[in-house]
Amino acid sequence: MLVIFTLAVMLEKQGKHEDISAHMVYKSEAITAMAEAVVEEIIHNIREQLNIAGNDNQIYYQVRQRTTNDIPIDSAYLKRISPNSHKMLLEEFSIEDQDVVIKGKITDIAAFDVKGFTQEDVRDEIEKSASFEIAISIKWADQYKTVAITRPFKVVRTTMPVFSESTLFVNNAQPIYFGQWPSLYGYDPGKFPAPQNTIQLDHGWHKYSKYNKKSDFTRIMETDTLRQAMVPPGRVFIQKGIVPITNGDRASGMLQKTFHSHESELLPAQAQIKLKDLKTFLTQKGMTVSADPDPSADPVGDTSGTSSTAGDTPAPTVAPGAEAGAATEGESNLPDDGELFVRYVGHGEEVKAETSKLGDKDVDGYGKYFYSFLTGWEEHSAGPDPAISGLDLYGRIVEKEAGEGFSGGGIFGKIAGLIKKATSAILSKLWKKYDIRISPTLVYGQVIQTYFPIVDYVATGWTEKMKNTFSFNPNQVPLPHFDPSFLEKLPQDEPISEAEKLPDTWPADLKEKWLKLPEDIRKPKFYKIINTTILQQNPFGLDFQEFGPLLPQGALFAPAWEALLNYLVPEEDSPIRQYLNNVGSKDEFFLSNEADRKYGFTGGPYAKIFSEPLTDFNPFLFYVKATDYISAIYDPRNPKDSIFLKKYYNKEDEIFEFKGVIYITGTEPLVLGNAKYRGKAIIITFGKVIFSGPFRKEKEDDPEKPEDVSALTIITLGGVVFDTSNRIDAQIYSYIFPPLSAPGKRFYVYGGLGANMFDLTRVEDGGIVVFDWAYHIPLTMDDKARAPYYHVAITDEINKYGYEIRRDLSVFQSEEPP
Amino acid sequence: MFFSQKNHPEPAGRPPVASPSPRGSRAGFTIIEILITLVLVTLLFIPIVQLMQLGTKRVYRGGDETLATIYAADIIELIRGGPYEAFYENGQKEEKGLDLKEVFGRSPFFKGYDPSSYIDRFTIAVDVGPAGEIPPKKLKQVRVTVAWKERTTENPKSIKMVTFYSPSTL
Repeated sequence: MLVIFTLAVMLEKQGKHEDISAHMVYKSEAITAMAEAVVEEIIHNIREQLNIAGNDNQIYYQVRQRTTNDIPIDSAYLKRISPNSHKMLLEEFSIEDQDVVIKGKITDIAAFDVKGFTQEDVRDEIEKSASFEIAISIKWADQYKTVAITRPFKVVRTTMPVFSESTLFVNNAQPIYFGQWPSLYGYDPGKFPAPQNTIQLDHGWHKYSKYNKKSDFTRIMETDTLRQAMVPPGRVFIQKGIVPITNGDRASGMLQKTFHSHESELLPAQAQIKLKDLKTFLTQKGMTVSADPDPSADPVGDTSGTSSTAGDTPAPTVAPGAEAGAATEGESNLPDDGELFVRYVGHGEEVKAETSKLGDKDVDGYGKYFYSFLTGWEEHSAGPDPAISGLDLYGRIVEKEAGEGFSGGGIFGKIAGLIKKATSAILSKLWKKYDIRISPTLVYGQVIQTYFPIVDYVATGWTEKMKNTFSFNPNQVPLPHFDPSFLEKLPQDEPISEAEKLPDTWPADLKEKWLKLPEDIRKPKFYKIINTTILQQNPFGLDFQEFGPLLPQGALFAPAWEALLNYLVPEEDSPIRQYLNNVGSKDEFFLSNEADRKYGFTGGPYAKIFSEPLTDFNPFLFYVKATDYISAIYDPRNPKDSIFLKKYYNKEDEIFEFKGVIYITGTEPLVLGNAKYRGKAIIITFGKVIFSGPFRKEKEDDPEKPEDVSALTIITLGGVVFDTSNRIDAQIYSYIFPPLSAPGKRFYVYGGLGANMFDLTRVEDGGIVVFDWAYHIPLTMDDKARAPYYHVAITDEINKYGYEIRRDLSVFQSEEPP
Repeated sequence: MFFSQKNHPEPAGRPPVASPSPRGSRAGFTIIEILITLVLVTLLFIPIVQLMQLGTKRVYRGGDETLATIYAADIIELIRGGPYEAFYENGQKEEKGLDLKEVFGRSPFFKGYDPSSYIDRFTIAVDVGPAGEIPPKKLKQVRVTVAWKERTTENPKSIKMVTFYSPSTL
């Protein structure tokens, strides 16, 4: 009996324990499911809120903080974003709020390891990889459990500097890669009289002004931009090579096959000096400046019989000298009004030629220009639209003069006409007030500038100024080339003052004109400087033998500001020299980009990156920022099934939706066209990208709502093909192959265009690149405004993924994180 | 055997064995004694049997609850790990009381799951719907209720598990 009884008791006890443990198992599983519900809701809502700004959405701002320290997440916030699970706990299991403890933090914050971009003065402090750590502890009856998870996330910038700040970005622009179009005064000689194709650059200043809500455009352009050295975005970046930016045509017939230095500069006004300002400046320096009392003393005035655009205004002395009116220390014979321009013109094959055949007409070339320019410019100024030729770097925006209509004559008018056609919808509002021109080009990179210096004086208002500035006129004097052996025979410091001493090959009218130059520019020493400059310069460590033969005889090359000082500082007591000495190294003279101001004017925040070969700018290294991956464009099981389309195309709204950094390892061509998109994203694809039709943003960006701005950067390994002339709203970078246009297609990129190499022969019909301000994130933009440019994504990368269940009663008694 | 007295003649040729007890002292249990004993034994067995029944019941109950828990957790994991679109979608009516056949028939993903592999004493009902009235809508709530009758008492029993899941669930 006892044994039986004992067995019975054991059975009962066993049953009891079985029952209890079964119930514990249930409770344990149930409480885990509850905690997971809370975690799920928190993570889900965090995920939903990571990219939506809101005053009560603290996580949006916390993930975008500039810190590498752990960031605690407010428990009240975590509880607030998990209302449904709390309600469920109460209704289904009678669990009160006090029995639910939630803790969270952002941890493991680290910068992305992209070569060059990890340097402190370069890296974007907002970008990061990090993890959320969320722990939920729930107590239910006698059970308690903590579910702790770790979820990695990335904060990525959706634009790719420095490319994102560029209208045109070329890595290797050596002539062998760059290619050329046949050109003669703006024509393709083989297609004359059809105009030559062009690549037009519009740096988007009009948009920039709108974005900054500057009601006074003049203040932007003349005060903020010029005086404060704030240059809007949109510039040409060329890393290396002498760039045959080809075929610019001047109304005079002068071509601008222009090479640019690595310095930041506004090309239209490399030296644009208001004489009034100059006088004020000099007066402030304790110098007395007076107007030239004798107009006949004008050394560069119109003596050729051609009407001067300066009208009756006394012409200036460009550099004071004995002939110019006995300028002495503290005194100048500068006129009261007007501006002095010193600028450079480029060169091309057609400039070198004595004459060229254009259709059935012979036109003057280089020799004619330098030896007979007085007649040459007139002939060429009557030529066709000079704007529709080549890569025009000289445009800008000017405010209409009060009471005037659109003064669209001359080069600018025609440029404007083209741009107006292309972007009329965008510019319509501004158009009423401003003459929109192709804006000035800012050039970065290891590129050598060569040019022919010209002295130019303009004394009247905007209309005449523009007219004069961008066409040749009798107030402009080119500096001809002297053979070194000729100069050696002359006293170096004595200006040549007699026609007999000039080369016999010079025509009499040229001699006459040249002799009216300031004496500083007539000294053999000055031309010796020009010649020796060519031989002594060794910019960027390049071997002169490589590029020397490419330089035309008589051309200068040097960083612009050095050349300019060489050009106009022959006399110690020259007011202009003093002026230039004082301003030449300052931003006010050579405008640096606003992004450069923090770090100096010679390279900007990315100078270190680009001090090495630009191959270091490897967009594919940005894979570490990928927030989304697909391994193929099309489903390998069904090639007609586009994974890309399925994943990113919203069929309901009929629009692509892109976010973050999308990394496509498939090599199939990505065909985009006849579609719209929204969102901010970088797409990096191993395959080719073909644009088959218009590919536009959903809507025009509203500057008031940066969070709604769309910006798409496409990096392609397989090359880019423009099989359309329609507008493509994107910044496009072809990593290996030069961009290619289908025959008859003239590409139109609204955003920016970049390539490792750019071959003009592959884009035979040219194109337009308009910089889109939406890609511009200036240093001065505060974090709140720039926040929408950063996409945050929970990436579920395995190495940081964590999931833990533990039992820890202490969390219900302590405020410490579980 | 204990209570009977054999009184058979000795086999022939074999000498009689001397009885250890005198003839007059041979005794047995009276029927009364036997009855009392039987009652006592019966009385003692009742709690033992009850104990055994209770133990068995608890073992059954614990086993059933464990099995029900396993079923519920299994179904929850199955649904959370399966295609998000397989169940309640935005705008749809909350789906209630789905049985296993309906659950497994929702997606090829569940191919290989067989309702018959679950003991039919258990009734499994699945509810999938929005995780509350507060957005976001993409968060779903799944409730799995497993009901059964106790094998000893036929009393109805059930457990439930509730959790949330989303397209990118844990």
